[in-house]
Amino acid sequence: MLNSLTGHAPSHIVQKSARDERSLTLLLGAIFLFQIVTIVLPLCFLLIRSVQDNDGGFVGLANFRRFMTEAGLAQAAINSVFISSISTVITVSLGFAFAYLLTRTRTPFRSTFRALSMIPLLAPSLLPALALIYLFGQKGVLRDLMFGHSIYGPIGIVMAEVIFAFPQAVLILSTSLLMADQRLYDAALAMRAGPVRSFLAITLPSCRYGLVSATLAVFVKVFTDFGAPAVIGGSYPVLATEIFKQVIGLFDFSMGAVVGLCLLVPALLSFIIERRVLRGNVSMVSAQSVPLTIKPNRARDLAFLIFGGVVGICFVALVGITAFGSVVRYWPYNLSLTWAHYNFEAVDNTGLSVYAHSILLALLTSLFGTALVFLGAFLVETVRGAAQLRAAVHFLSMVPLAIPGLVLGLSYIFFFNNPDNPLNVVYGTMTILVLSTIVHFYTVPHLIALTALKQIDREFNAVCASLRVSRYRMLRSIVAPICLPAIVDIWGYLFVNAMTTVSAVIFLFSADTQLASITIVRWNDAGKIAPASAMSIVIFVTIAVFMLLKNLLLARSIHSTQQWRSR
Amino acid sequence: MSRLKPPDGEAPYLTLAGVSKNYGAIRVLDEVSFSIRKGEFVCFLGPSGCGKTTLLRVIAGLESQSAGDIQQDGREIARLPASERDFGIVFQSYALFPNLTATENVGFGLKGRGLSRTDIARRCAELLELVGIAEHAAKYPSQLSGGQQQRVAIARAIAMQPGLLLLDEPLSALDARVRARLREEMRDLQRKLGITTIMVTHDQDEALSMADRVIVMNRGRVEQFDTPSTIYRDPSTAFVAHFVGDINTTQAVFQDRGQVQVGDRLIACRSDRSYLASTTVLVSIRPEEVVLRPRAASGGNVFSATVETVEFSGILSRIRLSVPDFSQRPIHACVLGNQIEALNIREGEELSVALPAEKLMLFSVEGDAAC
Repeated sequence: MLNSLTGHAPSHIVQKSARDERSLTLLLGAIFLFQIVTIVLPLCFLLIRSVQDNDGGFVGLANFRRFMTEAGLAQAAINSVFISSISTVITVSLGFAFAYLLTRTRTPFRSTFRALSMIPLLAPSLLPALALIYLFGQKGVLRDLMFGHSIYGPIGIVMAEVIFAFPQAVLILSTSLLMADQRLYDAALAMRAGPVRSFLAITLPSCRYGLVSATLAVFVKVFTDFGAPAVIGGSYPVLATEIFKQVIGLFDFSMGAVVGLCLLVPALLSFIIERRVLRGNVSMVSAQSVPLTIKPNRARDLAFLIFGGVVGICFVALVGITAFGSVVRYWPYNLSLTWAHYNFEAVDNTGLSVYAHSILLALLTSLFGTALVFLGAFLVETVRGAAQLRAAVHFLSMVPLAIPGLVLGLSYIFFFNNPDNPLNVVYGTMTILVLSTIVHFYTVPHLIALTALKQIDREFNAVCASLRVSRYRMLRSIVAPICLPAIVDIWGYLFVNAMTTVSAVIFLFSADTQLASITIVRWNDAGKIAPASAMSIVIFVTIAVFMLLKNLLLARSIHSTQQWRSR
Repeated sequence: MSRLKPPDGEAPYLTLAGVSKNYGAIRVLDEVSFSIRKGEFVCFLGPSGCGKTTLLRVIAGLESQSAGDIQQDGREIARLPASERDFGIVFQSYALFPNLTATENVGFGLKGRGLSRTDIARRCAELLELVGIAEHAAKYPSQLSGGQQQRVAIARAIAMQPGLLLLDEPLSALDARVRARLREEMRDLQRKLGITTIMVTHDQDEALSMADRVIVMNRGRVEQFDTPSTIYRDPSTAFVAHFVGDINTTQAVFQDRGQVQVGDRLIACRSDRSYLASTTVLVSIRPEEVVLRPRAASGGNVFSATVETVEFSGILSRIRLSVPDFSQRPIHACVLGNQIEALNIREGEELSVALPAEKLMLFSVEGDAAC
């Protein structure tokens, strides 16, 4: 036996690993090239277009001057800032209270509340807007509560945006509220500080970063959202709808480019601010921290139960009223039930095909997107050498977070619809929709993948090298199985977002690639509210079923192939 | 088990010549050169940050050196990537693949080499048997104890029959009892397979008890490369003397061969080291070489002393003494437990210590080793 265990490795075992390494670097280079083509070049074309007139002549800053002086546009910019500020204040306050409920109280049904608060994530931002129309519109059941004001306009937009941005605020804030050190509260108690004082002195400062981050995220999200103002904005102009009007309505592409750059401003500012704040952020929680134990407090828990109940009921009601509106014959005069509005073929000739396109887009985006994102993150983490290339790919993976979908879509028009661009064959096809959607939602999956990869023992590379196992086999047999839950998360994230997205694709779809989410906007514009609601309910149900299947599948595969996770 | 040493004069298996590495302005490895014979078990010993792990990773090709040559088995390997070198490696973290069973971990590198499935299965079974965990073959790493995981890691590292086995602090994550047992098993296994082995450790007991030869490192340099007993009995620098084992040290002035001046006393010293007259040197002695005698006395190499504390620890007791004529700081002596009573050693007791001339060591004063 010992003879077989001693002696030398046969030389034929020593194999082509340098080639391996080179091909990995080449792959990383290919991803870099992909990012240049799908992110950097389109943005450059957008920038160039903003200083050209519509015939391609250089006009310097004339477009920007026109933007400042043209009454409608300047007003739209002011309106956008106004709407976003109000929505942000309301969303972050409500989100903070809700996150506090989830993390710092012993209110019953907390996990139900958490699930309910995520409902808006499962639907296009159009759904809450439609629900608000049912409730507060001209024929709304609660229109008297508006005291003569119209829901179409700033009030409606703010309400829809608050609902739309709420889940993200809750996610960010509850993460930062979760990190707490019991010892600080004990010390405060020992110094006889009351609950208000310790809230102001410990709780608020410790989630300062979360508050800043939530504020910035919500502001940018609202500032660049197209769905809600498109459905419920009425004649109230904001930048997100203005860019659409300039490009699709007036064919003023240069002005569209200028408005696009304006939409980029808050994202860039928030990037800088976040960096600043992060640098000064000293964690109050260390490895020795004692986790918080939350004592019961009847008055507090009751108050939060009422608050959570109201929010939860609101969210359920939003979906419920939309669903109800989609199955009654003629809101609100004839409330008899009917499936007629779900007969999409009867609404217009695009009919059911839009739904099929949406499913196809979601499947292709989630399939190719997951593969691309995970491979990219893997290469960024493991390629040896080529440090600058790795840093560049990582940076370009972070950029999409700062690009509003509308801006991305518009820049794709400039780049891919250019007759001199050999890539213009994809223009008007499903391919460009998939490309833009993958790029639009690239950053969050990239971060999920990096987080998962960073938890893998970094010595695996060394072990595989010593076993002369190729990095491809390591990726296939070790890294991918370990990261399976993260991969499934990425897949789900891309599927859901591809299903609900409106902003980037609204500039890029063609007659052959109409999408369900865009159809909702179109039908709503044409006053076909009930079919629009029916379509949003279809999307909502599709996503809910998909998530259910995804979780079942994951649970199953963990059971059968991932038993190593349990002890 | 007898120590089977390869005959001297055989061509070295692994040779490093002038290997240096810089991280920016910091020199982590400074002109490291040495040769290891085939089948030898060598330990890199040193405090954390001395460069021992970096050196191991350079030998494996996991990090690149800034300068120098490395030859393994007659082959120049310094420019080869890790995957073209010939080594097996075991880490402190074990780095077992969590989604594979013990058997699959061991067989991971064997697949795709033209071996039949049954051959691989037999090899894995042999290897797991060899490291003594055959009964856990089907378990996942998370179902194994630390010691068992480390055995799997060892089996995996030797599965490919590497010419060189590299161990990076393999026992540091284990508790003391398991560590002691695994220490013995690993040494036996290494002798049985005759595989050339390098182990990185900061634990001097581990290094002294396991290695054929020890390389003591400090600040990226090799301080001494010798057998464990030579390192202990004849350390080449004050750093080695202090890092390996306990020692008492004081400053002295070298007079001539055979004599140094400590304070205003001249004492005999039979060290072979020689310095210019009047050079300041360090004179040291191991605690177990300090001879205690009842009753105060003084003269020559005998100093009067007062017992400060007696620390009982089983077979040996450690005694702290104040010996003002020898050193400002207290010195330590080690004696067998039964001598405590024979010599009537108690706290506050006055007695005398003899420092045998042939046991005194001399070192030059270095910036970092002044103790």
